[in-house]
Amino acid sequence: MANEAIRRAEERFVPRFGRRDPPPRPAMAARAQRLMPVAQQRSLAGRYAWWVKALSLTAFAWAFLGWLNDAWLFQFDNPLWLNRYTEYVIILAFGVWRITAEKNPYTRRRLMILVGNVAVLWWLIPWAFPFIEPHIGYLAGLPAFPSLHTPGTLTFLLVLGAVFLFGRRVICGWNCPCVAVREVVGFPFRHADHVPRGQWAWRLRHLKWIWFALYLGAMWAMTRPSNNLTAGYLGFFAMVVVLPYFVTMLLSPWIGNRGYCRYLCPYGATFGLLNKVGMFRIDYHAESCIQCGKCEKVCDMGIPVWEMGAAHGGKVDTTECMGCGRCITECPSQSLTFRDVRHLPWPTLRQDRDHLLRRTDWKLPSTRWRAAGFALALSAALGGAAYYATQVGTLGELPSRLGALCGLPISSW
Amino acid sequence: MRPAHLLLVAALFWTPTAWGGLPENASGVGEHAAHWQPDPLHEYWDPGTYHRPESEAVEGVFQGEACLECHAGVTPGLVKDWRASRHAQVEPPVLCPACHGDDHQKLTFPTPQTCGTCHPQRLAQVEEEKQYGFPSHALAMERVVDAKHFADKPKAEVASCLQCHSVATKCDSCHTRHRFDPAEARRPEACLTCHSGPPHPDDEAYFASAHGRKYQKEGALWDWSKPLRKGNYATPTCAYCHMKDGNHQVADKAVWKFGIREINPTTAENEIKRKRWRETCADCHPPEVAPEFFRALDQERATAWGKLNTVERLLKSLRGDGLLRPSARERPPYPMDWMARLFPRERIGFFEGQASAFYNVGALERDYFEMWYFDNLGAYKGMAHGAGEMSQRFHQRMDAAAQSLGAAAERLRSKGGETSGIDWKPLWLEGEYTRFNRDHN
Amino acid sequence: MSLFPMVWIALGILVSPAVGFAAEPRLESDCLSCHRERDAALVAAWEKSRHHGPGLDCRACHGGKHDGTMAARARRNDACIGCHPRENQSYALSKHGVIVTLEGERMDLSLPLREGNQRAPTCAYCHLHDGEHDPGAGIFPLAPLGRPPAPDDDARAESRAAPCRDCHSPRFVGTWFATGDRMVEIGRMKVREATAAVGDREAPELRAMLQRMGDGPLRNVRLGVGHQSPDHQWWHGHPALDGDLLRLKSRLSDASSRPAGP
Repeated sequence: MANEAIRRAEERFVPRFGRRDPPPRPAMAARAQRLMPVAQQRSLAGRYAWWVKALSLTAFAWAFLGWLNDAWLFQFDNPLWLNRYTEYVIILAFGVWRITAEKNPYTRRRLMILVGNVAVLWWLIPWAFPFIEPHIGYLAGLPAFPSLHTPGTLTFLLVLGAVFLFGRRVICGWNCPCVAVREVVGFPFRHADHVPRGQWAWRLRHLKWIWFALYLGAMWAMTRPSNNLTAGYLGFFAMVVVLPYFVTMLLSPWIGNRGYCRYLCPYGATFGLLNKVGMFRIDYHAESCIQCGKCEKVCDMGIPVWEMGAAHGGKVDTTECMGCGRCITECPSQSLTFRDVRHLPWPTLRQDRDHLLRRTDWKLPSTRWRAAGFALALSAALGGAAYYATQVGTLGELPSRLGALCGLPISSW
Repeated sequence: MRPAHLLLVAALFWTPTAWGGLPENASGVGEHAAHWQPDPLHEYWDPGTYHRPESEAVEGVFQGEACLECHAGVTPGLVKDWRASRHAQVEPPVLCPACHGDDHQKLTFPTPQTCGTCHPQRLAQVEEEKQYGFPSHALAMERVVDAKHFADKPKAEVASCLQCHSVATKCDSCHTRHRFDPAEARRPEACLTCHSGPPHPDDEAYFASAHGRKYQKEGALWDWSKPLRKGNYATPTCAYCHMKDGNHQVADKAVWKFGIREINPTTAENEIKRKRWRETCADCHPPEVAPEFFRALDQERATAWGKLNTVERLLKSLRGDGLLRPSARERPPYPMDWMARLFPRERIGFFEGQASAFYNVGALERDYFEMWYFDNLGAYKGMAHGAGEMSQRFHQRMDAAAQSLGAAAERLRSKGGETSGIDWKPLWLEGEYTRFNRDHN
Repeated sequence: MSLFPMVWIALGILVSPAVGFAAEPRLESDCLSCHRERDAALVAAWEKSRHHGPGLDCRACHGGKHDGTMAARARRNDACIGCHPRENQSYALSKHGVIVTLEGERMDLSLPLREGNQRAPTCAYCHLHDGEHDPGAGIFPLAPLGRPPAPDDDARAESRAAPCRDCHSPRFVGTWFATGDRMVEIGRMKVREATAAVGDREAPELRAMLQRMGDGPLRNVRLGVGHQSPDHQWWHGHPALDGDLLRLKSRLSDASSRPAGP
């Protein structure tokens, strides 16, 4: 076995890339003959029992139904258990499971932040304290934070700036409910049984530029006052984004848990472009690489990390990377490192596995400070929203409003 | 058609050019611009787009009070009106050239932008309204010229639409010229020239409500020069609620979108709008009144849309069975709708564009149009303005319409599409007006 | 018989117009006995008009109190709308009507009806412009329905525009009426299309529908144009005509309305 591995490594010693003469790819991990115990799983997903998958699919369908009710059906007065926020509550519930079960400490930390962001910024604030954030352009009326996707709003511009500096991961990795729902609810579909890999799966990534073109049209439409054309187009755009969004959840058993992000997400494409032109990339250090191919196996976006790094002089700079950091934390030889704006003031910084894992070490005061800072920031956002709500309404209404929002008869007490 | 009629039609449709005005080849604007030419009257309703200065009248450049000397004789009424206005009483007075320019060969009509040079805050509020989409004052003119039936019908016929929809392009819809009195615009009657009639009986609804009855009893005695603020008025008028504190942006509380489509009143966006309503109502009422009111309104809407959706499903099933006649192939199409030419389809309901389909359709579709556009909106307007009885009355009309449509559908099905044997084509495609409509956009 | 009483009576008759009659005039001839001489043109115009008929005398509009407000009283809308409720509906919703509703109390109706002396026109301002007492004479805004062109149309077009021009530019007035005439004519086309579709069928139901089109929405279009009421031009007018037209056609083509027979 060992000889075999060395021979394969030598074969790939001179990496070649792409159409010129593709190198043989690292072999697929042999399918495990029995379910891998979840406790042993780090980043390479284990296989899950049918009922776990069924539960996940049910949760996906429920989230879809919630959105349908919010947009079309209007049944039961849109309580929390059946509206657009239902998805975020499901994320929170499954998030608790994922966070406790996750064995990769860096991923666990990322999931905590991701789920926390979704719970506070995407659910609690707009749902309990709705207000409209400052905007330019003509698409108004959206409550705070979901307008992250709306060109012309303050959040949108801030996010674009942050993506330029730190990469697509600031939104896709750490603050995106679309990723969150797929990462926590869709986790059972992360296994190689479900995720399509290989040349074709990689080439299909260009599909998303169709959606990106549609999004450019929507950006233009949002700079215009509403008329039949722009309103009709925005309605059409919403449908071609939202329907695939939910349908791909239900297709997870066949396209994996990142089917949507890889192929159909127009926002991901936008952020991806900034990812490429911006200051983020993954550096590949060929001198220490042992060419185990693990980085390519753990990448949910299907990026051929090693192949790209080897072919492009050590730079993995792609629109696809959403910065989950699994390739880096799984790299046994610390040959992959993140690179972003922090390298400008601090050129000697090396964001490798040890660096990332240090951030999860609770014994370090810096880690604890960061965690406290994050909790404080979210609390401040929540408190600020609550305060703002008192300015435009009365907080005294909140208990009865929460009752109504949850679909409970508290308001009649 | 008798020769006398031909002569009359020829005489009427010859456009007089003696005063300059719009050239005959002036082109339309908006989505269907290529398909229609404006009526000469259009320049008065959308002066920013269509106004052409007089070319054959007086020449010269006039400053200060010079205009008044002639116009006191030519159009004495408007000069008297201006003299009574605040524009004439401030120092220095706002004279004619401020809005119309001083060259009599290049006179302009003031647009909201003209008024905005001195009233920028109001203009900004009007502009801000565009962010809220339809229904809207600020987008009313775009709405009308982009409507399919506007582009399709003869422009002299739809000139009637422009009078109200010009609220987007002129300020004197509410502050009538040349007095421009805010006190006038504060009173409900100022709104009712447009906010009346079958699809939006706001006049009937308001005057039937407790608010409106109180206004009718006492309103004439109040001091209307006071701004629309808490404590200044004993009962709200249209503007008190919809233009609170004189905010010229009337869309930021629009939840039910005029009642023409079904919406979800409990989205976060609508929660924000309702919060604004709660504040408005709280000027006079205890805080629990408004939520109770919304609950009743939402319930009424749910009932109304239950009825409408039932009929919509019924009509769509008839359409599916080919029983709706004249079918889309047997009726005059919209000239600009290439989709409809490729895939002719009877339009049923808001999302298929039935708002424009009220003339080139069969009786069943028209009945549903009236049920949706007249009865449903009457029920909504009544409920939303606190005239529950009126709403009930319109609900009864909806019930009656639903019943008669159901009976008609059953009759159709039992006859299996059998007809009177009359030739459909000339009847539906060849009448005098139908032909004229086809030739004149 | 002393001359004295005669002198007093004569003096009384001479002076009374100046101080005003304390008593109400009892008969139409009471007004005319003086005014036929003093306002010969007015009376002559009135006698030609459609307002000259049984049951209608000066007091119908001017009221019965000879107290110096008789002219102003007839200039108020109240003088007209009792007999013309439908015309009032279209007028009251127009901007003119709204302004009169709101400011009527403050308008000086003792001034003659010309030169924009009032901020907005009451009925009489246009139809009885400048003291005209024959509302049909020249100031009848639009050609009557179904009448073919007549030689005096130009003159009528000129005179119907006169009251408007007190406040509006002649060009606007000309354009308004030109479009208005076309708008009414298009309405007539719809009625003619319906009439042609019915043809010589002897169906009373269809005949009644035709009749309703002419009396209802078509007349509304005309009132809407004349009184500048958008609602009557449109919602009570053209789309209503469209609806009647298509319902009539549906009746003709629908099997359920087929005349009984084999």
